[in-house]
Amino acid sequence: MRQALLVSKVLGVTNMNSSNQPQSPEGTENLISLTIDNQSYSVEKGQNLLQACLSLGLDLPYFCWHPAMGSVGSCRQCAVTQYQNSEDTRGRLVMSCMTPLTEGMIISLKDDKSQQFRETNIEAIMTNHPHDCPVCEEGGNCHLQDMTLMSKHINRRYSGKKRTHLNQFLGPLLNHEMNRCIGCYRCVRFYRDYCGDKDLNVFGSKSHLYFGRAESGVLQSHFSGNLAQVCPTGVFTDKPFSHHYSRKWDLQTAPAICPHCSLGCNINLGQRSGSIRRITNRHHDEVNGHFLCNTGLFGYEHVNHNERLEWPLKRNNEHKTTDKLTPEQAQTLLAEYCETPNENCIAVGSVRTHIENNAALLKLFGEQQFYLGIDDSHAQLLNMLCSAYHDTSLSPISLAEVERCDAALIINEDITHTAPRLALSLRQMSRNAGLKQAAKLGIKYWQDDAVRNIAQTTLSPVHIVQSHGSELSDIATQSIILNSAAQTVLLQEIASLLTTHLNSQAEQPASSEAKAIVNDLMAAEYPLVITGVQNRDLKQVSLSIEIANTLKQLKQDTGFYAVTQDGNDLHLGMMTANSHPKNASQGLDSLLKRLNSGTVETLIILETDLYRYLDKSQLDDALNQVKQIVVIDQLLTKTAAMADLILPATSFAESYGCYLSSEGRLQLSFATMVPIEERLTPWQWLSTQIGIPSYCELVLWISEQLPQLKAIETFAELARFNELSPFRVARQAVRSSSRTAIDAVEHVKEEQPPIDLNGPFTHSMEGVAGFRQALVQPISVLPADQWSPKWNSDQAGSRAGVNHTRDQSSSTTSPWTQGVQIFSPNPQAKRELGYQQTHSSMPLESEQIRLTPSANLYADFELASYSKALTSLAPHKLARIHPETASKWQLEENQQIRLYSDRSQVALECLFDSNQAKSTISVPTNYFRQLGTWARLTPLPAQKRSETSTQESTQPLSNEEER
Amino acid sequence: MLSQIRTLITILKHTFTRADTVEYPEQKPYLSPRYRGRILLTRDPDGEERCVACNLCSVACPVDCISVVKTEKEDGRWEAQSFTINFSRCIMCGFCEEACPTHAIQLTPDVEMAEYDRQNLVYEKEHLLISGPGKYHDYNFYKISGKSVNGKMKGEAHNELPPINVRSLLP
Repeated sequence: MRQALLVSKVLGVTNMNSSNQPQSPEGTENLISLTIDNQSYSVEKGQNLLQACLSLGLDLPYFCWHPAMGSVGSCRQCAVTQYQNSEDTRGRLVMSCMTPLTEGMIISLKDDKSQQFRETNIEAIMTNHPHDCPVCEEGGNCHLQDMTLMSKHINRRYSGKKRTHLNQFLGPLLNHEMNRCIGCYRCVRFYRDYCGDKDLNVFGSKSHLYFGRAESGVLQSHFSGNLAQVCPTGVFTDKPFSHHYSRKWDLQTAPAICPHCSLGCNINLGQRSGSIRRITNRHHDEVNGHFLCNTGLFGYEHVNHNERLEWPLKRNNEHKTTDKLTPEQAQTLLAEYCETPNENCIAVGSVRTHIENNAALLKLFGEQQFYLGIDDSHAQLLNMLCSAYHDTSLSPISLAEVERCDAALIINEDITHTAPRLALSLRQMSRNAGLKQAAKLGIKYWQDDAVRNIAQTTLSPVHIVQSHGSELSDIATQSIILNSAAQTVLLQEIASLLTTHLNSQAEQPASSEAKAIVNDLMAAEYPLVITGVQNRDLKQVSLSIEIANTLKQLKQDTGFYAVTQDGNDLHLGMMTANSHPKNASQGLDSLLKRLNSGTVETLIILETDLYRYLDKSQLDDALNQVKQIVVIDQLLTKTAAMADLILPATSFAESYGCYLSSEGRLQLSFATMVPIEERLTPWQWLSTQIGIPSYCELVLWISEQLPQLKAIETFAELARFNELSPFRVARQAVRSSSRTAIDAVEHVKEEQPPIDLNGPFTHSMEGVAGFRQALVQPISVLPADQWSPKWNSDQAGSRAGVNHTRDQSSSTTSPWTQGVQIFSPNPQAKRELGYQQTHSSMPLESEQIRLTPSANLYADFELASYSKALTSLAPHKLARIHPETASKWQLEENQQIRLYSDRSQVALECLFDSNQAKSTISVPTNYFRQLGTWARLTPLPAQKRSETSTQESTQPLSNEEER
Repeated sequence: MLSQIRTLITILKHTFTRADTVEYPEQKPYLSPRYRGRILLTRDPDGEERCVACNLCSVACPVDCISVVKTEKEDGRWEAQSFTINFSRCIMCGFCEEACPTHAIQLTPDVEMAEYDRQNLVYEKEHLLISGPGKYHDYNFYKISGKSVNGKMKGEAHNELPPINVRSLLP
């Protein structure tokens, strides 16, 4: 053991922390010792040999294995020599990915036999590989390049002809170049086995293998973008990235947090010359693991968008012009506007900005004047969730923990669209029953083929209660489609059944569905309840909390996850919870009332497009009553167009700030690039007004003022990084090129690189390179740049399930990389939900119909909707209605209908869908937000149909066949 | 004493040898065709730009004086949208030529590039591009690579079989 540590220390593999810490008894039990090339090592049990070698930092090439997908042994690249015992000199070749670890095993990586085998193998793999590297997007970021070099295959001997393939059009996200395929099967294993989608497949045999769709067309999976990283070579490449291409070594990167949905996935943002070029997954054990959804991967265009605001602008009513201001002038004007008596100034906070910015606004105006940029019912739900996490023993679990559960109940949330990565985790969770079966037979979890063979169709129970069909229904034990009233009845049954279990009373009569759900939840070791705010249904969310809470008392390991709706909305539930009576919300509906009272003089709107939430005419009227409107935003939204003063704000790529995910994980997002001079972070615009000049002080103010966000104080040290550590970390790779030419056309003299005083990163290649960072102990943040010698490709960054051996030291402990979980499970707070059961307003008039939102991950997230590639994938806006309900309303298929409530109105084409709950109608989320939960319905005259149908028939995508 | 005399003799001897100094502007020295001077971008035998904007010259450059931005033609052909060489930084090391996988970037024996204004030493694509193939007459990258472009479909490149018919039942 001691020797092993010494060895690994010399090799620079294991971090210093682990050698200082005494091994826990549990830890040594889990270890197994083995000898590799006459060095002894100890590694964790249960892995395969390849994984063990990689986690030790040894160089062993592989293609088909993937830490998240296990081994199938198809590429034969990871061969090593295994010896019987210490006398054995001949040994035998084994595929390390298919070899379980055994105590005292002796293997060799460097012996001639296995080296020769690996070299010959890759030579065979490369016989058909085209001479494409210079014109391949994967070049310089290619697993095949890395592995070829590592296997020392440098000279092509095969003189035969290369097989070729025709390509397919696969949609706006991916390029297809089948010639480059090496037949490792990773793409189909990811697409079909991991994501459960069906439209990518493998055809043919031998060297005729073809990985693609049955015919050209858009890939249906929400995770198709990951294929660019899953493919070890350039068969699938990132299409939007190719349109503004830059080699990997030229990208300036920093660790950031995805701003779209509420899961808080970790990403790496890459920029060059002031524009974001691509987003890649940043491995986080507990959150996103190895994969992101398409929205996360491609939703960055808003940063480069031509509607970005570049100047402070002032409406000049006298001359009917818009004047550009300098930042100083703008700040003076802002101070002038804020001089009016406090009660006449109102602020609107945002769900897509950092916590710090909302807090600055809160400080400026006080809680009474601070409105949340979400509708009232959303705000109430967030309040309810926050108080549930605070008062009860419930706390949301991480996605990794979701994957460990063995029964799930999803209540009224379409997670495939509102939290896609969670749906992917749930899919992995459903495999647990099969894995358990395999484990009984002694098959390890990573033996992918064997496990799937044993499991067949065995799935862990997943029950879905929803108002329309779910894309998860293929793994669901029960997919129950009910309208909200019937759902409430079902949930009450479940809740009371669980209560009888808790009090060990005699069983009550209940519906068979409810019984099946309760039985499965009770039989499970780690049951899971998932709910969300999507439907704005207070009753159901409170029932879900009650169910989870009761279950928690029955089973200690019950998991709970409540999906919220936007990137950073959960913390808004804490901002106003203190001073207001419970459930008196401060949402946009209340704002509208306040504006209509006519007393408001100054309205400051922070990064919220009010027109997304409220009806245009109502809002126009309300805004016209306000004397001065100030908008702080990144983009010229409709709301910004109404403003008297616009202050341009930085995007998530240009500023430091915290996100709170719906899991309650507080994570810091680092700035990737420098903002232009006129753009400031929103809190910086306000900093003179609130008297807080620095980030550090603002963070400390938040931790004092908002007790639930106390943990944010951890991040106050951000600016002190420079004092604490003598080292700075480079955002650019050591290979970064064209420094003296890139701006030479404008100005041949090179400028000094911009200095970042806020954080530990430099905007240049000066500083510690990412791949050497583990050697520099005082720095515990993630490496910023993504380039490293040898194991350079993106996927190699996550080999062995750890984000490079280089940051093992930091990955376990540092809040900078892991975030801080603010809802710690509170075992003392045993029971009694701390809030009143609320009644959802349920009008009984027969002409009203319950609306349900039909979410879509490409259409719903405001910032992502600036990405052209994503919006082209968004579906047509339709209302879905059950045929029976439709006949009740005397509707025909494809008829135009008008939905109106006292909040807004909308005309939509209606589509019959028997997977829609009866007496409900589903409308796109954006309309649902504006209309509210109930609306009146009138069919429109039929002649209107032809106009709109011709309008809508213009397909956004051309299905051209590519060569 | 003796060494001083020897020095004098050595120096005097030089009076009778031919001068090595050349009267430069009037009399030009011979520079071999492989001499590393002004850099240019060449075209392939078909007259298309050879540069595919792969950025390898840029990353090989020890003084980082080359900047290339990639764009793609409609047929999938990669091309440089802009190609900038800052000759005020260039050290004529020729690494870019060595790195170039398409023989696009070539160094020539022209060294007379002096300018009064440093800004004039920034050469862009239109200043670098010539109309011929330079030192390598026959090489055409796209005839060898697997990517299809106008005039060369899949399977028509050097050493390639025709595309596989995926729907065929034959093995």
